[in-house]
Amino acid sequence: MSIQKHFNTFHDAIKLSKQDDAYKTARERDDSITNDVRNAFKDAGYPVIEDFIQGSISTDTAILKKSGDFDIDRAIVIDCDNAPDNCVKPKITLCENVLEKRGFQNAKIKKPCVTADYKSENLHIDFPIYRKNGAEYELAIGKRNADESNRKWEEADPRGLKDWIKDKSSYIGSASDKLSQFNHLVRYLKRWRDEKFSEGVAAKIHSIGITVMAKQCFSPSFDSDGKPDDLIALKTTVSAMLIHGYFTAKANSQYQVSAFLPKKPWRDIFDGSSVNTGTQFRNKLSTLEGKLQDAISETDEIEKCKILREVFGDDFPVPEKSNNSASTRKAIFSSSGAVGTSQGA
Amino acid sequence: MGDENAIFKNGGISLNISKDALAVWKNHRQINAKDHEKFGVIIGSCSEIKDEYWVESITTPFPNDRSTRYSFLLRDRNHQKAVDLAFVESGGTSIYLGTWHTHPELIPTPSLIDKMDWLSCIGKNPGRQLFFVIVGTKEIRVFVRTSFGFTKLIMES
Repeated sequence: MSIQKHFNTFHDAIKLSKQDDAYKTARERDDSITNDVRNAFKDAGYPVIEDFIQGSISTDTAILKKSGDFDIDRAIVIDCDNAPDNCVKPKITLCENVLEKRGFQNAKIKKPCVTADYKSENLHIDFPIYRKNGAEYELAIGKRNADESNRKWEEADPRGLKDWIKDKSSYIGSASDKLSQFNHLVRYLKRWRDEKFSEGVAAKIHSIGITVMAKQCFSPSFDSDGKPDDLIALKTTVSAMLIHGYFTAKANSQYQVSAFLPKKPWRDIFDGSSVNTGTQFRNKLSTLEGKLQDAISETDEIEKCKILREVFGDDFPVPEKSNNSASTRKAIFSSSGAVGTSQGA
Repeated sequence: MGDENAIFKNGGISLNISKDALAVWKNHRQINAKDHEKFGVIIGSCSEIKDEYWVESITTPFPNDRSTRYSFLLRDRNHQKAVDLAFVESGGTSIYLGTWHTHPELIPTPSLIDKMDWLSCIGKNPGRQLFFVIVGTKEIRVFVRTSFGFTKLIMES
């Protein structure tokens, strides 16, 4: 039996998609708040001209978190002509006139967005606010009390980034299958991160960083029948990530990680990250590469799955030995056995 | 019963029963007052070291068999033919693994006639591990012969 079957089971267990019921509930909450945002921004003089979902849900790379939490990234866009020079103003409007009125005690203005937590529903919504000038977007950067030097409308390209991640024009032959394999690989890597790093470090290994690195290093793999081989694809992609130049060696076997956004503002996704984060990321990625190679070399299906469960956690299936008559060597008999007559009561 | 495979164990032996076989047993339970006993043979395979067995298919009554509500007589040659066919098609791994029949009781226990018959089956197949299944209206019981007589296998939950 092919290992791909188990990867598919694992993928089904961890993926979060727009069609999932749990996500639909989250979206209803989100829609309701977004409607209030529209009203509040209209009253404030900078009406919302568009809103859209950004982030992993929009690029088909979202996973269910082990904690059960959901994240939604809801971009709110206002027209440049109406936007206040002080980019923090609309963030305060969103926070005070919408979220706090709705009873969010913990609505927060963070540097790139405003966040709201539905604690009872494990739902976490981020609202990045953009102003739009023609086709150009600028993101409101700054915390609540940021002075002029610490706040700005910063060039951004949220739609371009999404298109870049979903782009399949460079894939030769069965491009859709390759994009689908890429989506699988990103989800595997994100679950691996959640599994292998402490919560604090995992939070610093940003999903967008993993996604960009995997996209740039993606090495698709399909067998001669055109069926995906996610194990080989993941191994070669991880190997490429290790030598791509994201990890810069520092003194004492330490590493600094950096990866740049492929779109505006072209910033380092890991800007400000510590050598501890970089070193752990690099070393654990290297261990992952070794484990994947072990899994490829292992011939026994159950042993293969055990190695992969060690890497990805309990959502990776390990078949029961006795459930698996097809892979066990069977005794061969010299005769079929005698039925004769039988009776019972 | 019937949604997925079931594994029964006793000592060093396990018997894995396919969900298809479980579904047939479920459908043949003697639920109604007029239902006759149902029965057949068990066909399956085992691992090289003979610690794991798999029920791959089962037969059900054929025209020349006989049964009442409380007894059955398995004598139709089609049971043997089914076993022989499976044996050939599997390249020698699928064999006769025993018999099954129903009882109109919740948790079935073998009668003396059942045990005598099972001993006769074992006698006809020296050196082979056989399994005997009784399908009650609530539970399925699997028995094997041990040095203590016939012992039931424990279903893994």
